[in-house]
Amino acid sequence: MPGTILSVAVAAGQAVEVGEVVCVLEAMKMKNPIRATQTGIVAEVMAQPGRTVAYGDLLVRLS
Amino acid sequence: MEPGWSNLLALFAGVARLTWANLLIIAVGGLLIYLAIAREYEPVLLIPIGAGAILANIPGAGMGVDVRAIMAGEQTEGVLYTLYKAGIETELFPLLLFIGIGAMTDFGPLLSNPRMVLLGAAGQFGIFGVLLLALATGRFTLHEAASIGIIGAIDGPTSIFVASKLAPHLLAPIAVCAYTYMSLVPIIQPPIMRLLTTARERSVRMPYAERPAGRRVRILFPIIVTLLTGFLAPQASPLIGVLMFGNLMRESGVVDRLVKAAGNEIANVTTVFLGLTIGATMVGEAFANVETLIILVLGVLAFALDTAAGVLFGKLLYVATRGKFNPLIGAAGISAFPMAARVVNRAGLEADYDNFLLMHAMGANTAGQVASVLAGGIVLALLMR
Repeated sequence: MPGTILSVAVAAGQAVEVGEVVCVLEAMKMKNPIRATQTGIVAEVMAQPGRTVAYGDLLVRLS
Repeated sequence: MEPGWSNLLALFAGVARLTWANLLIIAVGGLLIYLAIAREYEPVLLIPIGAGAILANIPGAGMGVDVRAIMAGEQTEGVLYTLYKAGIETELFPLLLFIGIGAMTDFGPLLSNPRMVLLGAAGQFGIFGVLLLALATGRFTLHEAASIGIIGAIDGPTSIFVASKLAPHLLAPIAVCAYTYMSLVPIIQPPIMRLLTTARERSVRMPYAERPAGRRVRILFPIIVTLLTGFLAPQASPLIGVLMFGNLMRESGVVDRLVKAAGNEIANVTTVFLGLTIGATMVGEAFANVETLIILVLGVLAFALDTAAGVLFGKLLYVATRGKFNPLIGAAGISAFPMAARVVNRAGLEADYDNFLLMHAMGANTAGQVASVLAGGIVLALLMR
């Protein structure tokens, strides 16, 4: 869903559990928590606060 | 008695004329203000309405607007009556508000997924359902029943516009219903949505359109809608026309100042006057009666019927698309914007935390907004011949 990244909760190298919030996306004046779809280690964080993102953009890559 | 004493008693003349109905409505006004401050239920509207209700029930203050008495030809004065004459009787206030709503509404999600229009239509079912129910109670005329049904549009300005034409004496309960129920969207809708859908249906994921609607489409949309609805239901033209005018300004991209004025200053000033005036129509026994209670109940029903019809229609699309449509989105086909879309998004996330229905729901929600205005126009077209 297109929107603006409000905040990023994880950093590269950090371990995340499935369901953990990785960043918050604001769309239509509503804050949407984006959660990890699997357990793993954060390999790369593409999402940056304030940046506008489109549908299909990669926000966080897990390994 | 000494002349001094009778003067002193005159000070309390207002207290002596205070009725139980006045006290009750002052309490209701206090409750609305409490809900606005403590719960933040539509504070922008409920504070002016609550204040208006309290002012209107101070005997002898001349702040009340008793619409029944006005219709019976009784002389009325006072500052809030002046506002009533200027803005409600002439339908000016709801129309001014609609310019701002148009200027603030983004029809993009609807334009990139036009089939959402169907859900906007389904979300108006409550209007006609409650119209029939109100008639069935035997207490209301056809015009009154239609005005009560319009609460099912869940749209304050539309309700006021229609009721002020068909049944101005019921304006107070209808407007209060339309505005307070709007804030109850997150409470009334979710149980109905859960009841009518299975967990599997609620977790259907829907892809987003790859290409958003272009600028030319966005500019042409308000013009075409104005012309089409104008030919179809001319009675809806004032409402749709100003709504689309506001949206045209927004999408034109060249009158930023006017868009801001319409969405902020004009809408805010109008909201203050509209709220106060609507509150002031809640005068004593003219408001505190059985009819108002029945209207409050019918209003909730209208709302519940809208939601149910929307979700059921969504289920129909679920079957028609072989499980590719999430029926929850049907609940967003009402006018309460953007609350309904947010409720749908939240319900979707509850079923699957990675399933964002927000944009689809916004499409249905904006469709519901236009459809409710159109439904108001159709009701007027059918009854005002």
